[in-house]
Amino acid sequence: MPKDTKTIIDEAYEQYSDAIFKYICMMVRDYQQGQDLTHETFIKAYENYESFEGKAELKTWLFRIAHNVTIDYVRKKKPLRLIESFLNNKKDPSPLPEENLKIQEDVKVLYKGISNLKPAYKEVIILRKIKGFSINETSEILHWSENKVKVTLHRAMPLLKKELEKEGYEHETKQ
Amino acid sequence: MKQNNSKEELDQTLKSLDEKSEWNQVDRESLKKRIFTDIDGKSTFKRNIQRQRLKYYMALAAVGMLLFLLVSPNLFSLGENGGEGLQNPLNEFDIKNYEQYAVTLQNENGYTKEEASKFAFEVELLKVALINKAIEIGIEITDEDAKKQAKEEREMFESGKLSDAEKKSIEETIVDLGITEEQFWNEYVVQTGAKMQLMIERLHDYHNENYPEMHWDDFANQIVGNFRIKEAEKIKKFKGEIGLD
Repeated sequence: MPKDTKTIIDEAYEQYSDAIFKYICMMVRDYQQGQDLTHETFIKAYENYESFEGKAELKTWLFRIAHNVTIDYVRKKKPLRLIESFLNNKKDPSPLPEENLKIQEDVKVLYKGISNLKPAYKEVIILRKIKGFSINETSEILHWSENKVKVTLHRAMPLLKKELEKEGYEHETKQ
Repeated sequence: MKQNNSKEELDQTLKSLDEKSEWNQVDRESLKKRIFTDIDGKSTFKRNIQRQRLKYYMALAAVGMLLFLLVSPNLFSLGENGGEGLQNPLNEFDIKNYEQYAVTLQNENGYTKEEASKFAFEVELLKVALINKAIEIGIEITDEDAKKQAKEEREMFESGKLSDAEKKSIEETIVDLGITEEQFWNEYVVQTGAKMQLMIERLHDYHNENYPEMHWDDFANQIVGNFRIKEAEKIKKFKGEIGLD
């Protein structure tokens, strides 16, 4: 008997919500917002499940939705966050979400370095290097050509290294 | 702790990043409950989201505009000896502002060219409409008030309350303008961001006093609507100049 959509989303949540939430959290640097966007991702998945044709893996499809809701938020939110902080005398509203998302000490710098990159660079590193998606899957999630994924990753990695050096992450080049 | 980020090691560390962070399990379960409650009451949820988006858009447009005015290097031009004042009145459409903001949206916020053009136009329209309304009802901001506001903003900048990205943005603006830090805070911010911010704040006060039953978003929306009718020709001309149909 085929599973109903609710059951499928329930199982998908159990399997992928952790990875999706961490991806979103790294993109937006806000724990609560990370949860809200994860919520939106699964609601959209439920609403649009009929359009999922099974050509891609369910995980890839879910990340594609997560990418869409996150990038939409990032585009709109950036000016808002900056001006709110600047004009309303608030503290930086976007620290690392460490209080709620427990991050081990040895990777905090790395987490911060990635967070400081611009969205496209950040995203391609997360998907390719952290989540382990293939070039093809990454191109599906981001709606980019495979070549663009390669080129962007190629540009992003040196910038990440630069960010890490700024944060005091020591760099040793192997001979 | 000494760390080695040679390519291979960096790749390995990146791979392990998810394992080395932990999402609070209570929050995770609570979110799941929220999602399935919303799925069960999906239609109500959809209506709420639509309302929230409309509201959010207006708020966003307003603050986006303020940000733009604060950091745009094109709004204000300083003469050789310091400041000559505003080149473009705040209540007029400004192509350079529009272009600068559209480019920023593309480069830094990931907008497509078309999206950036549309949004930058909406922001420019909102700015001009609100400032014209503020002038129409007699709001004036003195240099003294603007200086006080700029001073507060500078104190925040210097006290380290801003994020690195925000500080960087301000520092880059100073470089782009080709002025000193003193000129930036004492002249540029005073004449642009601070005055604009205060005018909008006073307009907001006016709204609270005179139309307490009306939501600010609706009030601002109405101002833009009226401006579109009253200044249709001016808007059409501006759209023509920026190549927006």
